[in-house]
Amino acid sequence: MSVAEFILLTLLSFLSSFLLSRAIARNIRSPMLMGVDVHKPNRPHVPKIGGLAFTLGYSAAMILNWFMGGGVAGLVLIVSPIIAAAIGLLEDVKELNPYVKPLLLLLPGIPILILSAYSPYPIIPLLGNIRITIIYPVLMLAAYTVVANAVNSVDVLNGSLALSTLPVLILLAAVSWIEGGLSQALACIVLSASLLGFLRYNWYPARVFSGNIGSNLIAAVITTVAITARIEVVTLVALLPQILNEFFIIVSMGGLKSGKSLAARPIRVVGGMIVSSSKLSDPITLVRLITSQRPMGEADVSKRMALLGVYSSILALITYLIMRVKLA
Amino acid sequence: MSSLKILLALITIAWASLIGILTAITILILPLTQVIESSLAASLARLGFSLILFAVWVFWLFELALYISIKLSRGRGGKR
Repeated sequence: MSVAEFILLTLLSFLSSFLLSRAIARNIRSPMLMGVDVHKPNRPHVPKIGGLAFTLGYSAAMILNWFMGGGVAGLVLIVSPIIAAAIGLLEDVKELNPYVKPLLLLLPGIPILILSAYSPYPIIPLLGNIRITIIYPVLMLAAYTVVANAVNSVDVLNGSLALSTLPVLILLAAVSWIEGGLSQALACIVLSASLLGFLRYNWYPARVFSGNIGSNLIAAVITTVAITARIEVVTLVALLPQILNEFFIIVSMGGLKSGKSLAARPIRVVGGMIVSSSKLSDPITLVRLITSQRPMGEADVSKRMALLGVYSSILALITYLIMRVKLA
Repeated sequence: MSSLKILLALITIAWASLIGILTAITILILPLTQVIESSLAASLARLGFSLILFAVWVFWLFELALYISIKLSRGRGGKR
């Protein structure tokens, strides 16, 4: 693939995501597809399937990449994320059982298993390759559901999903490129461009929400890149804020539960500011920790979540360099 | 210290301990289970021991986050 084609696909995904986000913000009014922005004083209703915009932008660019010779990696980078996004769309229109959702999210890993697009010899920093031929496929399937829930768990404020995952995608693009995974690098750049187009309408005050369709797509792209480019541990480190957030919520709530059914809230909104809960028993989340010291505006909290993403991506880069030193 | 700096420290601790856990799994658990003759049983034992280590890691970090949350909100005058 030439540099011109790379730039063209990136621009295509940005423009299509931008225009589709605008179309969704202006035209979607069906009550089934609207969500309430609970952090605003007037609690406006906002279309909650904005993720469809960057899902279509990403898919169009990656399908063109596959026709231009994307290979097996290019194919799984289309199929797995689309399966995950379809599950997300289903959840956006119909409340899923909190135990059924993780099981459904095992499905995006199936194409990788069928096409054998993985290597069961992950690289561990300081130690090098390890051989886990039997466990690896199980861990791989589980990775989709863990990452999807982790990425979804930070989609709580205007702009927080896009801002906190952009640094991760940029890091993965760079590392994949160095490792020779051009389709993987393209997938990360194309998705980043799509997210920037979407962010114009998702930034405070949001006119569209991403919804589960969007968070599932991002998670599936990240997981597929990690597996096919063999950078599993680097990805795990880059996603530390999201993964810690997810585990903290699960431990706080004593298991997998739908957030909508719980009365306990980690934060509340007072005069347009986000204030952390003062009850010990309420869930521990990144947003609660960020606002523990003083109340903050929604945009400020999202910016701090982005900074955590940048920092964990730097740690992931250090982890990658340690891996390279060991393998050299 | 600001809540952001404390969270950055928490992520650094999580990163260092994650590398430590992965090292422990590779050095201790993988060779230890090689004495099991059945490869499936050995794999299950590896998975089980690794999950126990990860669970300990998660609970430890959760307790640390809870402690941080209490300390920070006491600073702003929160009631516990």
